This record gives sequence, structure tokens and C-alpha cells, in this order.
Amino acid sequence: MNSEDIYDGITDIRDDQINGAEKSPKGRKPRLAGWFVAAAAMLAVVVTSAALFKPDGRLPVKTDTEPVGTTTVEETEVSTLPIVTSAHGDETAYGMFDTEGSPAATEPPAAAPEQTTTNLPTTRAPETEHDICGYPTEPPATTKAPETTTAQTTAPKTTLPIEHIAARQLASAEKPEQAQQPTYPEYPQDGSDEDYQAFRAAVDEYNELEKLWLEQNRNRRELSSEYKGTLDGFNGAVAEQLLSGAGNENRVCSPTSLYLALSMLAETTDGTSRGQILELLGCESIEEVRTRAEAVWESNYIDDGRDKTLLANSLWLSSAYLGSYNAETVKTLAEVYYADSFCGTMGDEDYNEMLRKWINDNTGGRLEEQANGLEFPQDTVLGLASTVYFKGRWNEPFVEGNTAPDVFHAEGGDITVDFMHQRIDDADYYRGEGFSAIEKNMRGSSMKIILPDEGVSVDELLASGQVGDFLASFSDSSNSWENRSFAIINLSLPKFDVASDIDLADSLKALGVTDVLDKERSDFSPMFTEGNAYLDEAKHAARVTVDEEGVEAAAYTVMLANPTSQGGADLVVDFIADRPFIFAITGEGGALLFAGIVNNPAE
Amino acid sequence: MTDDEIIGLYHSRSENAISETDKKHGGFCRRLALNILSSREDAEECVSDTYLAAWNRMPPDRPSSLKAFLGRITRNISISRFRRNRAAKRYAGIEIMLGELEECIPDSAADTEIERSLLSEIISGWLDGLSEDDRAMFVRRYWYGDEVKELAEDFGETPNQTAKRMQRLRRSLKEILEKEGFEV
Repeated sequence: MNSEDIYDGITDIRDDQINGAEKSPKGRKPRLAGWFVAAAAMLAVVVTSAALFKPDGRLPVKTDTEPVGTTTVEETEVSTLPIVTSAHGDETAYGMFDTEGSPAATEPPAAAPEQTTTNLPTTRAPETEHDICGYPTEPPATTKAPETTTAQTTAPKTTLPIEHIAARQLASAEKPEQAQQPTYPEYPQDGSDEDYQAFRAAVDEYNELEKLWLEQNRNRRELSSEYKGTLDGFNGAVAEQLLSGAGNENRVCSPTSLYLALSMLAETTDGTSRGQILELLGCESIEEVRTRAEAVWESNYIDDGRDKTLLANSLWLSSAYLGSYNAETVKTLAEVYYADSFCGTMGDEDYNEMLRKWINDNTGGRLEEQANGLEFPQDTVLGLASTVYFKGRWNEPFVEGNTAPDVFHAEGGDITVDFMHQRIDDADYYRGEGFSAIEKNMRGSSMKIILPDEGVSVDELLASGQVGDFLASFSDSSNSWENRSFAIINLSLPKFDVASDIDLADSLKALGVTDVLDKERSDFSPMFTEGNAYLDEAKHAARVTVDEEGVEAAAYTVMLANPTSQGGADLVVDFIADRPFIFAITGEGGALLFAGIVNNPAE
Repeated sequence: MTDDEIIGLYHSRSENAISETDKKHGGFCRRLALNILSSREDAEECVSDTYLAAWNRMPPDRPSSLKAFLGRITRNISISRFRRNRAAKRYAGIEIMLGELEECIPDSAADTEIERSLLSEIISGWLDGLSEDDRAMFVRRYWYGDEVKELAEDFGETPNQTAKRMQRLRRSLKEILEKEGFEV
């Protein structure tokens, strides 16, 4: 026997003894039972932005009871319909089709089950009359008289004006079909031959499904080459503009949501109105806008059973102007931007409620508070809404047991909040003028945490332009940021749930988009066959939640620590986000899904 | 990606299996190989060989701990390389470790052939009886190949204290091996 025998013997000790001895986070002694946790980190983000238009006085208002190309709903008929007029009503409104792919798909009232079978393709319609936009103008006959008590109590006929058109969804955009991530079949440990045969068959099926799923991921990456690098200017300018001046407040925005909303706005405008938007988007032509917006949408939209990034756009038409919309433009918005379209009477609570419901459905209800404040003023002619819902899981979740309260030095004074702790090996550590930054990965996306140096405020850092440059360095897969080193990071990050409401009008002006907001200069000619409009309101709300949440199914063996000083990283960095910091969540091809400032994690 | 998913990739013969393994456990395997061989170039080759071996063993293998599975392969490949090249090269890491482990050899058993699995069983049982800190230190020193200096830092001791503790542990192992009859 020699020492090599003993060495070999040590090689084969039990797994739990190997895993249990793994290196622990700095300052903590190893716990030898191993870190088996039933926890996963959740990162949920929601955003919405909506734009409302008002007529400039030249647009002919249809005040008669029969808008061109549409069928008037008779007063007597209306009274039997389940129109939701209560702000708290959450049942679907008359004629609304199901909204596929949303976090909480619309459920029709139980009394009208026929509606659930309506399965519309893009701009598809049931066999009914069509309005000028090529959309069905009449609700399906089957929905004519559902007997629900809601109908009678919330929509008494006396409250509905004779020209009232029930709020309804005209068309539901067909979201691209998503291959789901398959689950690997269970291996029969002590099974019979039959069991093994069944296992092999299941593996074959798994391989087929996985091939589709992997191909989908590959396509997504390839699609992003359509716009890779082209979003940098926009992302930097928008993030710096929307995040600056937050004072002591938290601030969150979604440049991607704004990018898509502005792309749709470019479709509906012409002349200098469009020109200014194209410049901000960094595009030469409307065709380029379409190619890129479609690629941004399709490469970032994920709903594969594991990850979720849901993007949604919608178009809100006024029943009073139904004869004035340009059908071609509406069709383009549906086909290129996957825009759902709705029609209703502006100023009516049921239409407002439908907008809020659409936003809540597409944002998993995360922005309910902000959506509650949304309504269409009576003289609105067009509404555009765009949402992004994101839910990602850290590749390496935080261990819940390591979370502990500590002091965060907020602008308004010290506060105590929960900090999550983790040691990240093999990590890139970035240094810039006045800041340091790290990146924490999720699949296909990541969160950058940008911490201003002590003595540097978030606003000063934003004004320096460094944040935009730093984020832009990620748009290519090989990061081009120079001051970058390999390090072991001892990360302390507060749990946070931050939300903010931004009025976009001033920001758009500061970004050079002024004409659409100017009654005299705006040009919405592609949208209307007659008349014109201007942009009156633009709101943007977003919310980002970062934490580690216990998930029952996630029995997870956390492996901490990797190379020693010999193995790779020489630098050990304590990255403690205990003062206001900036974060950014990027998706495929450098799309900046969210950016924000955390001034106070306790709010 | 979770270990189960990575194992799934091997079983489905997916080309991504190795890149995902490298992404998640590459650092760990390199550290092990480097601790043994003290040569980046040789360690890198051992890690590549580890991936090839993993590819050949899964399926049918479905390890319950992918990390320990990969670690064992890396150790075995690294020590094979050490044995192959021991005349030509000096691998500081393992030579120091083996030198230390000589203290564990039962006095009268220098030329005894022993069964590896039996030896592992005895060592595992011995480890179970240690205090948590002792067990972690021993495994980190002789499985992970971490240096004494580093262990001292992590456990809040001086290197001298840690060295003494390791010596005590090696003697304790030797006693167990003698008791188990390896002295024949």
C-alpha cells in the first residue's frame, strides 16, 4: 500500500462528503449537511406604456347612430349584454375574444361558453360583417343573449347612449407558436426490459421535442442579428433620459417597450413627425423600422414553459371614428407588431376597463395599481399600448438562508432591508469612470448591476454617459468593455420591488420627438383616411421585483465556489449594493428590456 | 441550467452537453486538475479528457451528483497523467499531497495490494465520524487539493494551526486503516 492507494481511496468517497465540503461564502463556516434548498430566485418585471391621441379638430366625428361600415347596436339589445361598466368587474365584455398567450387569459362569462371556442388568426374574423378596417363589426350571434346577472345589474339600458358601441376586441394577434422545453423521461433504475424499451421510446420522443426547442432558441439568436448593435444608441439615450432626475425615488423603465411603441407610432405618422421618430430609433426608413421591430419582438418573445418574456401591443380605436381609420395601417400594426385591436366608445368606463384588463392580462397583474389610473378621455381617437412582462430565474439562485437584514444607505437616510448574499466564481467584474458593475445571468438574459463609486450620485453617473456606453458594450456576444477582469465576487444585493410612473411627453421632447405632440405640426395621415390628430398623452409604468422565492418543486443542490487563486480568478471583490444603484435587464441581441434605479429598496 | 438538464443533454446526445458542462462545472474541474498537476496546459487537457469520458459514460450513467461525478473523473485522469509522466515531469500539487498522505500508510502494509472500493468505504466511514470542520478540511485538502494556506484563511486559523490539524487527521486515518486490517 502506498499513498497513491490512499489518494485513490479518497477519490471515491461519497458524493455528499464531496459536496458538503465545498467552499463557503466568505466569512461563513461551511455547513456540512450540504446546501440543499427548496428555493429559487424570481425576477419578475412588468411594464406598460400607452399613448393616447386626440383629434386636432379637423377629424370628422361621427355623431350619428350609424358609423360608416358598422352596425349599430340597438338600445334594447344592448341592455341584455354583459357589458362591464363596473370598475371592479372582471368579466369579459361583449364580443371580446380570448387573448392567447397572456399571463392570465381572458375567461368569458360562463353563460356564453361559445366564446371560448373562438380561435382567431391574425386579423381573422368570424363570419360576420366587416368594418372599414376589415374587422368584424358585429359580435358573434351566439353571444347575443347570454343571461348573466352582471348584464342586468351593471348595464342598465338607461345608462347607455343610443350611439354607444359596446367595447369589444376586434382581433387578437396570433402570437408565434412556442416549442415547449421537454422534460427528460425518468430512467427505470431497476426496471424490466419492457420498462427500458418504454424509456428508450420516451427518450426518442424527448430528442425530437428538444430538437424543436433548441432550434427555436437558435432561431431567436439568429433573428437578433437583424438589429444587433443598432439599439445601442436608442437604449443609452432612453435609459439616461428616463432614469435621470429621479431624486430620492425609485425609477424603472423599459426601453424595449418604448422602442416597440415608438415603432408603431412611426407607422401611424408621416413627414417630420415620422422623421423625428425614425431618427430616435436609428432607422433610415419605415421598412427598416418594421424589420427591426419584428425581429426584436420575435427574438425576445419567450413562453416555452420555463422562461417568460411576453411582449404585447394593442390598438384602441374609437367607435366614433370607425369610418376614418386607414385599414392598411391597422393591418400592418396587427401583422408586424402583433397588435391586438379594440373598438369602443372613448370616455366610457367599460372601454377604460377593457384597456386596464388588457394591460393586467398581459403583465400578469403586476401593474394593477398603475393601470387603475388609465382612462380614455372622451375626445380620444386612438390609443396604442405596449407591454413587456418578464420572468426569469437566476442560473445560480441565491440561497434563502443567506439572506439577512442589513443597512442600505438611501438618499433620505439609512434604512434596514433584506440583503441576499452569494459568492460568484468565474465572474466578470467591470470598472468604469465612477462605477463598478457585475452581471448576474439568467437563461438568455442577464441583469447588470451598476454601482456608482462612493461619493458619486446616480444622476452624476447617468449624466456622464458611461452607463449607456457600458450597456452598449454588451450588444455583441463578446463584450468589448475594456476595464474588465476575472474575479470572485462576494455579492450582497438587497431584495427589491420597485415601480414608477413616468409621463413620457417631456422625455419624448427631450429626445427630439416633438412634432407628434404639436397640434399644428403633427402628421397622422397614414392612420386616417381623413382628418388628423396629435399625441396628447404618453404614459409609461414599470415594475421590477427581485428576490429569491421558495418554490416547492425546486429541490436544488447549490454548488458554491469554484476556482481557488490557483485555478483562475485572482481578484476577490466584495460587491455590496448598499447604496443607490442602477440595474439593467438585457434580452437577446442587446435589447434593453428594463432599466432602473433603486434609491430605496424598502419602498 | 440545472445538473439534471445537463445530464438530459448527454442522454439525448445533444451537442450542447459539453458546452453546458463546461459553463457550469468547467471552473471546478480545472481547479481540481490544476491542484493536482500544477500545470495549466496539462490541466486543460485533463479537463477535455474528462468531458470526453463523461460523454462516453452518459448514458447509461445517470449520476446523482454531476459535480462529484465529473470531479472523480478529473481526479482519475489527472492522477493517470501524473503516473504516466512522473519520471519526466514534476507535478508539485500531487507530489506534496502524496507526500503528506504517506503518513497515513499503515506501518506494516507498504506492499499490500488493496481493493480500492473497500478502502473508500473505510475512508467514508472515518470521515462520517469527524467533526464538521475536520471533515470539510480533510476533503478540501485531499479531494479538492486546496492548499493549507487557503484552508487556514477560510477556517479562521493560522497556517500553522491548520497544518497541525491536518497532521492529526492523517494519523487518525492511519489508525483506522490499521484497525481495519490493512497491516497484514
